[in-house]
Amino acid sequence: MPLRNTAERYGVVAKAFHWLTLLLLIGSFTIAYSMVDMRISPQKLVLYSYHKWVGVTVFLIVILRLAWRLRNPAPALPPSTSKLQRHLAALSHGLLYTILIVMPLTGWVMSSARNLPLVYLGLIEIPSPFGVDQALGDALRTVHFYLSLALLFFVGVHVLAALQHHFILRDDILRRMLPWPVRLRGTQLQSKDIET
Amino acid sequence: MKTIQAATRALQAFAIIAGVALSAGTAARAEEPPVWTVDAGKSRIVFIGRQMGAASKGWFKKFSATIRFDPKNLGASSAEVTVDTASAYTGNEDIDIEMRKEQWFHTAKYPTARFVTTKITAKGANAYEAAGKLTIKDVTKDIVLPFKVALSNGDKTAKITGEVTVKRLDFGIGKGEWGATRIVADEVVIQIEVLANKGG
Repeated sequence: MPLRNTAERYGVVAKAFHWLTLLLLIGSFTIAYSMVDMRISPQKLVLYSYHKWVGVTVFLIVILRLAWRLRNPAPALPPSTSKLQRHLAALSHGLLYTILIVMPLTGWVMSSARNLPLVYLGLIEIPSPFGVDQALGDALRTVHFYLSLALLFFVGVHVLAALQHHFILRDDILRRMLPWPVRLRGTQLQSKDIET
Repeated sequence: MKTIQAATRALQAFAIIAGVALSAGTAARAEEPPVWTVDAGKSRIVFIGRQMGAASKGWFKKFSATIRFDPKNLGASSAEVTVDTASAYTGNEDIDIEMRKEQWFHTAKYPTARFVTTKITAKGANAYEAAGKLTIKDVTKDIVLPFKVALSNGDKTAKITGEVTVKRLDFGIGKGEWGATRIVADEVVIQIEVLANKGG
């Protein structure tokens, strides 16, 4: 598997970013749902910190991922893809990236507004952007929650679209992102990977 | 006659001694350090704790202090600070409610914490050290609070700043499950920033 993206498939780096993001999001949501209704306790503080650490990691990965994507364009969509589909794909991917950037930011400001700042991985002190502000903290909590629902929704759309491509349209959209080596079934299958 | 003279002399001597003693007493009173009144709106007692490595700052909204201070008479200078433990405020409701509970300040049983100086010594220009007894939840520990005094307004206003680190578990603050110092640090920094005006 090539490191960089080719015209047909994603390279190792892009795949790693993609699947790592998924794993981190599963972790983040699992922690979030178990911690949020807990009474305050040392365990809750630990879970909050883990959740924030995961969030910071997701944020960093998204930044790296976008930088990588700038220099490694995504493989082309199948020629049969309509203009509307192309626009919808670009929009939904754009929204996913946007949420993945904005959510950690709201979490970060919320942490400082609620006077529970963080030291990333227990090592790197993340500065607090604003002072303690209960109203701001409460507002951001709501925003963070609705963003999480939006993220779940768009991830759902993303998964359904991938499955539709795989099982109904029977193209390579899903296959080319699979984390293990796969054979593409498209017509250009046999053509050599084109280094970008 | 001789008896009368002797009696008169004795009276005179008594008067002199009494006079000396009286004036000496007045002099001692004059040297007593002035009282400083704390401007509560411009004063703060801050505490900084750490959870999961991150510092969270809070302060006590209510406290009172009796300060007698004269840099030229440190021997007679003193301070006594009483803090309303239920006024501990971090801006995070969950924490503020938790801090009043039995495992923390147990404010229902111990509504106040006190610091009483036992000795104030000079440590360079405008710098001092107050040795004293800190009492929280009926546990008294000797602590030394280094502080600075900046006088202004014709020496009538004093800004007193100082910082000391204490261990919360010494006083039984955050017991039980909260005793895990890996999660909530034992060390708590206490910062004082007091603005006081000369006069009662």
